[in-house]
Amino acid sequence: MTEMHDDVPDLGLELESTFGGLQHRYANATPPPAASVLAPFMPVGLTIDRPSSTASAHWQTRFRTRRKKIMSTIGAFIGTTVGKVVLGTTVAVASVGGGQVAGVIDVVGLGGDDADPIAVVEPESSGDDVCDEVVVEVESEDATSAADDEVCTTDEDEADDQGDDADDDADDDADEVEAVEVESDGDVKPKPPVTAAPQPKTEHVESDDRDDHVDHDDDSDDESDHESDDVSDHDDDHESDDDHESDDDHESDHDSDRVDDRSGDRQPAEQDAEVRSERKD
Amino acid sequence: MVRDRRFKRRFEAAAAGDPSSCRWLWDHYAGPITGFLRARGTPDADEVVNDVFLAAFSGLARFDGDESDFRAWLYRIARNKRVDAIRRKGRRPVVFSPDDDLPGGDGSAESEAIAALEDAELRAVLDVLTPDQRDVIILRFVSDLSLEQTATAVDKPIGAVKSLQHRGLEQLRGRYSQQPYPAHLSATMS
Repeated sequence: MTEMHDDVPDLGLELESTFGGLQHRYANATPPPAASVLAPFMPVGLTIDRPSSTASAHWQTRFRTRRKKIMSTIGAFIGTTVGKVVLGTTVAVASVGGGQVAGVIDVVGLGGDDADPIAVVEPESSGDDVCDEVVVEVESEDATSAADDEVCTTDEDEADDQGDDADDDADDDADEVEAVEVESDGDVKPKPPVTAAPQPKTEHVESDDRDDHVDHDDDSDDESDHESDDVSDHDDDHESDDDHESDDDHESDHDSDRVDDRSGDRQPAEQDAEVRSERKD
Repeated sequence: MVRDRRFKRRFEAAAAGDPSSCRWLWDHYAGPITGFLRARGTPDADEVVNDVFLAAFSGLARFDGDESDFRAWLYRIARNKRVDAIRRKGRRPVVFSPDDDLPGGDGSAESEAIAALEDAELRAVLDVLTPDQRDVIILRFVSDLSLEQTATAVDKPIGAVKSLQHRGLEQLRGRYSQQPYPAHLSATMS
């Protein structure tokens, strides 16, 4: 009962309770959202500037309850062993990935700018006798030995040995890059030869240079091919195919000789002459 | 006085077409109008509220009065729109739907069901009244309007409103004298 009801005598407890309930229920009802029919007069679709309604409080309570449940579930999962393993793995992977992206660490297999595992950069001024500078870039598995990946070999020190020219020739041939081993101290050592064929000893070709061994092998094959050609010339015609094959081999051997000669051009002519004379002997 | 000055400024701006002032009127009066329509069991009460304010905004230029008159004027529009809504529905029996804004409820289905039951019981108390008596009783004791405002809202003289009020209260007293006191009312009041 308010001052509005001064004209009304005592309602009694029953009626006051009834009107109190109705007023509590309907006096401050939450209005619906403004419909689009009111758009010409006022902005629609906005929240009403009223105290937090019961409906919104209800949804806020639901949201908070659900959020608490989710957080408690996540906490319980992390409390288990599996959860710890998953969390630790996730953190570790994220750390490694972040370090890889930032360039702090270099992990093989995660990709990067260096797509080729081994890249050989040959200088433009590849002289016949002297290689000015050979840079061998090797992507090493050891990330910490990045400084060892780049090796620069020059022939400035002529007193090392006479095989430097041969080494440089080998480095010029890109197909033989895999034969190069890079040690941690930066020295480039050629691989030992696969076949241990008896080698004619010469003054200049005595080292463990694999290319020289290969050259000698080719030369020996060349000789054997010539012998087979001689034999096949006396055979019947049915073996002509073999002859052709042997001829092909001979040609290929000559090709290899050309290649070798190409590398041999870099050697002194006197050395070649001596070697050939020894072979003929 | 401050309220009257603020209302006058807002009302004049709204009549001039200020959208924010129209929104202010909606924010301050849409709630009580909605409650009246729901208490009267208006079908599609939310839609009717929008119709009420559409008619009010359209007729602001023709209105002349203070805040009390404006409030009574809104209830009058609401009463007329309610009648229109009932006619549109083909005078089908009104089915009261539980509202989703239950004061004091925790939002659970159980509390909503209890509140809907109490809501139906509260409205059932008014079933013994005639429609005019119901309008007057609700406007006077639920919407808290004065006799003059109620007379404006129901478009009747004050004497007629007093008569409807007196008869309505007698009907309710006679109902409670015949039936035991509903337990939910004491709980509601507490």
